[in-house]
Amino acid sequence: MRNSFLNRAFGIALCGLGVAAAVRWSAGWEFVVIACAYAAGHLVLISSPSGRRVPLLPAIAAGIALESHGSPVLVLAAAAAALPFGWLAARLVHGRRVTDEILPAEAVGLAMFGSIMAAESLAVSVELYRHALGLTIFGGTALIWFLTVALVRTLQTNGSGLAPRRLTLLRALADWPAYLALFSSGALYGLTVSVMGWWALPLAGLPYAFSHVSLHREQTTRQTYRQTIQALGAVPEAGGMVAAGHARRVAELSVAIGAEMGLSVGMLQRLEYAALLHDVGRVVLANPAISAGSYSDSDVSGWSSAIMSEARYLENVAEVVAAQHHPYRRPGEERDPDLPLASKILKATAAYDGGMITGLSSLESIEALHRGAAYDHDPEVVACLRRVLERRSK
Amino acid sequence: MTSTPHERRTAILAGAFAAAGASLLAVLFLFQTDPRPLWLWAVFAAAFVALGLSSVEVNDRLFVSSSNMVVFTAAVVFGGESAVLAVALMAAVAVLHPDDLRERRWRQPAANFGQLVISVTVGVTVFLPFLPDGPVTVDDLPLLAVGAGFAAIVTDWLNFRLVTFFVRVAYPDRDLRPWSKMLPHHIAISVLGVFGAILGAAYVLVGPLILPLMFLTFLTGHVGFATYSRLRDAHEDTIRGLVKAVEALDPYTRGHTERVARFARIIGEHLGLRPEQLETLRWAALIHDVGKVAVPRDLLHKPGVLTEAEYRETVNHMRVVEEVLAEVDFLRPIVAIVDGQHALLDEMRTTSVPIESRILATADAFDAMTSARSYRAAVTQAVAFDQLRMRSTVYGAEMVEALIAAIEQEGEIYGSPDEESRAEVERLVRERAIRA
Repeated sequence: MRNSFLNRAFGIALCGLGVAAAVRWSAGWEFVVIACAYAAGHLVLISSPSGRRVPLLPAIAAGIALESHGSPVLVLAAAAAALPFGWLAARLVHGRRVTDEILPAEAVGLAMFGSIMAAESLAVSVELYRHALGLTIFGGTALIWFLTVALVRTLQTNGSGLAPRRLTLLRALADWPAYLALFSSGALYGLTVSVMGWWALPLAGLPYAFSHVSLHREQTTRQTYRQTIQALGAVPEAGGMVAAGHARRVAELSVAIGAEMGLSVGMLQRLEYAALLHDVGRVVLANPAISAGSYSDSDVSGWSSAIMSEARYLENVAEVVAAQHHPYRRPGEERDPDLPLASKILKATAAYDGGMITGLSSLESIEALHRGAAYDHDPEVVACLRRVLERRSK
Repeated sequence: MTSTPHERRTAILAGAFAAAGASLLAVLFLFQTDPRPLWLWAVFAAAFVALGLSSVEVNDRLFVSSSNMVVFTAAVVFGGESAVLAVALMAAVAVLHPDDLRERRWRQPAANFGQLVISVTVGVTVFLPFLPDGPVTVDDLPLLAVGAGFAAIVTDWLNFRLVTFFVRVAYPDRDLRPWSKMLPHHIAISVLGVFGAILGAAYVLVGPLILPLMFLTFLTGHVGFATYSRLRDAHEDTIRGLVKAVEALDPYTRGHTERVARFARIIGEHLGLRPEQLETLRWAALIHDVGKVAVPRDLLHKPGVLTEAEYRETVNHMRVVEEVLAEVDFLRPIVAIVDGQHALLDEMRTTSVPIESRILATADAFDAMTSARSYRAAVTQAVAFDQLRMRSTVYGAEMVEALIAAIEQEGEIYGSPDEESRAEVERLVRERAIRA
């Protein structure tokens, strides 16, 4: 609701700015060409490591800013005028999700970028852009765009639900390769087009295409890998050895708690995979000789981590699962400082969801964890789990 | 120190390659001027070495190194008078691979030195007529692009020929990809050549400022492809590892998946399947038995024939797991192949089953028959072939004959040396769909 209102406010303000600019600098074809390029920049989307897609806008802006040496104000005005149209076109082509989630951040980034380039042009000779210092200034403004986008995306996360703002910021910052590819190919075009004419297009376009394809493949494979882990984690559920949806729920909760407790992006991914696969060892229960006998959660962790260890890339995930059955502290002993935080989180969330599966209410299940706190569970993890659940219920 | 005749032959060949490369360099020193400035040559040489060491997988099993691009950038930048010498020297310094230095190997670097110097020298010499006599202008770009695209293919072709010649002599057992199947590789190399020439012209026309921008864009692409390649490996490794772990639960099926994948590949290759079909087949073989994890072990290991109810229960367990796997977009077509295989063996339908399913069924049946199980011994290879031929209406005569021909061609023997009764084998083949 709040996002939707902000988007509309952005749209109206930028539309007004665009119209005013068009009236003030009704400067013929150059204005129209630049505006069309900006509008088109909304439509081409590049994959990024966080899974979001980034519009071509930064490349278009960089190319035009470096090409149009004479009038950065005109560039800025054309960009402002083009934004609402590009926005509308993007909504028609890609749907509301893209315009709601991506474009507001990019619009703010563009405004910052344009303002800085315009201010610089007042003080610095445009020829400077052909020299290293000029390019450094350009790099700085591009960095400001990237950071602004990351910040706006973070602020767009309203703090409720399972994704805390810190996680959004970390994911937004992980998108640097996409922005680097866009800014450098745009700059390449801007610097060469006046000398090389249309040949500047393949010169900038080929490396851009290389990056575009590589980032797309990376993202697709990352998604496939995640889907596969999810599917493999659901195999014991399909076999009726675990309640349906347990792995997925435990993974969601674990990531939310891990992000809140300061785990890195890499560690969060490891935790998510560990949570999705923590019960995969239950497939051995298809053997009646094992399922008929007695076995503990510790045995299940052992089976699961043994199965995961067969995959080289999951060895560090297997370590998280293997350590999750260790108690936080045994009576009369110091707590184990080497116990990974990810394992403690996984243990708590699996126990919480396990409680819910047995018919406990959310409150009863978390109270059961509180009773085990300081022995079975880390009190800080349990407190964090409570906070995350409270935030989700709001 | 004694050496085998094969080692002596390899050493002589590597020495001959190196001598040819060194002679070419000596000739070039006589007829070409030194590349100037030296620091710029050093930058290009460093880029050539770095890109040569880090080829990326741009598509399924298609590895491309961008070092070819640097060859044509340098050729344009240094101009006709020193272009050939500049790139030949770049190639000469690029042969020192850290692994070779660490393991003190000299034959491979010597051979690489020769083949690289020869191929880039010939390639850039072919490119020379396309270079302008004076400074590069925008008008020269079309000719430069065409020339570089052609010369890049010549360089790559010659390089391939020299490498295959050396490998055939040095490693006669190694399987080499035929030249006819390398079209996508040549297209990629040609595009890189064209791009290298345009980049060289941009350097001359605009200045060195474009180099860091180029570097950054390529770095992003390179990092992306490297991550893609790593994730692909991780994906396959994960599935392979988990399948292996599941197989390990039953000592009698250990290694079954890998063998089925191998048999399926050799049938597919014998039938001339496309690389992407072979890749799909490999994945199908990898997951074809995953569904068994949900089947109770007493059913899987039950001696004798399953009752209709038990059989249905087993199939249902497997289908549930396969449906879970089919939720992964990538695995959906692969699960469809496995499903086709089950339908075939179940004799629910034997028509309109994809060729990949039939190949998988043939490979699976052959391994099931020639491997021991908890409830029976392996049959002999001859009996297995007979049984497959008897059921060729189900598997497809083409698949059965392709497997037999491929195995006989390789001279491999599978299965038990003891004869089993045909009736017993027939019964086991009927059951194998659920109990292999």
